[in-house]
Amino acid sequence: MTETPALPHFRRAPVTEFAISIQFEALDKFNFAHIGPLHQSFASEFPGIEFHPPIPPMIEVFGPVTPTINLPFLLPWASIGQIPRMWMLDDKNEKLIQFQQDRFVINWRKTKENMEYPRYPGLRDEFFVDLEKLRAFLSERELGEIIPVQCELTYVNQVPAPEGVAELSARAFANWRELRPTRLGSPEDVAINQRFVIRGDDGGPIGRIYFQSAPSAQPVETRSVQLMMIGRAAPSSRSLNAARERLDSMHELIVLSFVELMSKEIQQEWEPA
Amino acid sequence: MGSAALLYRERQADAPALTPIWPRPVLPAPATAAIIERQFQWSVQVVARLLDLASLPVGWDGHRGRPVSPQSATYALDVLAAVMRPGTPAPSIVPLSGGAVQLEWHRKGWDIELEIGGPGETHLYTRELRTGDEEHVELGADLDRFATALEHVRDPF
Repeated sequence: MTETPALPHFRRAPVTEFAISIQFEALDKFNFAHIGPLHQSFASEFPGIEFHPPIPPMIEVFGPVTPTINLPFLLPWASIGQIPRMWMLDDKNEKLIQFQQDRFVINWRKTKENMEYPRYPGLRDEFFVDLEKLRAFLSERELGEIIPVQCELTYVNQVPAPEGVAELSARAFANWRELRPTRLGSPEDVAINQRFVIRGDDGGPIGRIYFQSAPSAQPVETRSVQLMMIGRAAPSSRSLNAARERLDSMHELIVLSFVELMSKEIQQEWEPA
Repeated sequence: MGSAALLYRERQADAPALTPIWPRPVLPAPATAAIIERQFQWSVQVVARLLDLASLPVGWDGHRGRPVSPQSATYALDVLAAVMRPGTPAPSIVPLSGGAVQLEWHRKGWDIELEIGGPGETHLYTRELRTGDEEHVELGADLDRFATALEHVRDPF
């Protein structure tokens, strides 16, 4: 699969993890009895299975207050009778499908050094094929419709920082203003968080894009900076077609803004195509 | 690769709260802590009430009423976190039969009610008692009208 021609891409993009997700209205009729049969629907491609606590809903809202505390985490989700989140893993442990009552995710992970990550159009198409499988499963058993309420893209990059985290940050970010040297020398760690509002056709807010850069928890000799990009927004209507359009438009925004935010120097290292 | 998967799960969970940014934040000074406590006092009541409502038995209303869904409860907290200012009192929280929840303020000559059917499904009702003027508005992600309405019931801080 190739990227949309208008969008830049990199032959050696530092992507180590990539996920496409939609959140939908909770499928209340899906219960523990359906877990096995649902896995059977995916087992030929995703034979492995694991269970994890469900991810709380994450819906972007816009008011005058920017919350500094993530309040929904005060709700003890695991204790209120939720169906667990299923992980269905392929036999190479590279891709996994995650399903819970209100969320469906396809997740790619880099497991070997020379793996090229599946470009967005390819993973998106796989996502919708698998989502259709889920839709058919639900429909056969009259378990409800998938009504999307939020679309989400996540890219995780690991950028090696042998020269140090502060130095790498200064070299990698186009909008970085170098910290003046002090008697303390260079900062041991630097974290950068940027949050942008996505606006709809009428100018109203519909979602956000997060750029988050922080040192990875690795030994100093292999230290790197983890650069995570998350786009999350509501579809224009509660249909799967609208969800697909929103994912496409968020992907474009993420790619174009990523190119603007990263310095030309670091982009050269990733070999622009 | 288990670590990457773990990372995904944890980072996803952390995603909306990109602050505090440091894994080991510096503890706020006592004065700052007091301000934060006052500012988020409402959340203690709201979380306790939502947990009660999420634990209601099916049929709690004498019919087929369902407990407040985790999705509605979570979204209610997200919504409140985006609009509650210092001095805005905690709402009364009323369960609705289908798992939805309603936030209500009845004070200072105003009725303000926000019905939350689930993520992104909100209906705002306001009434000024003096004039009898009423308004019904379907809200999307943009909560500015709701926040403006709440200014009528807010106390000076």
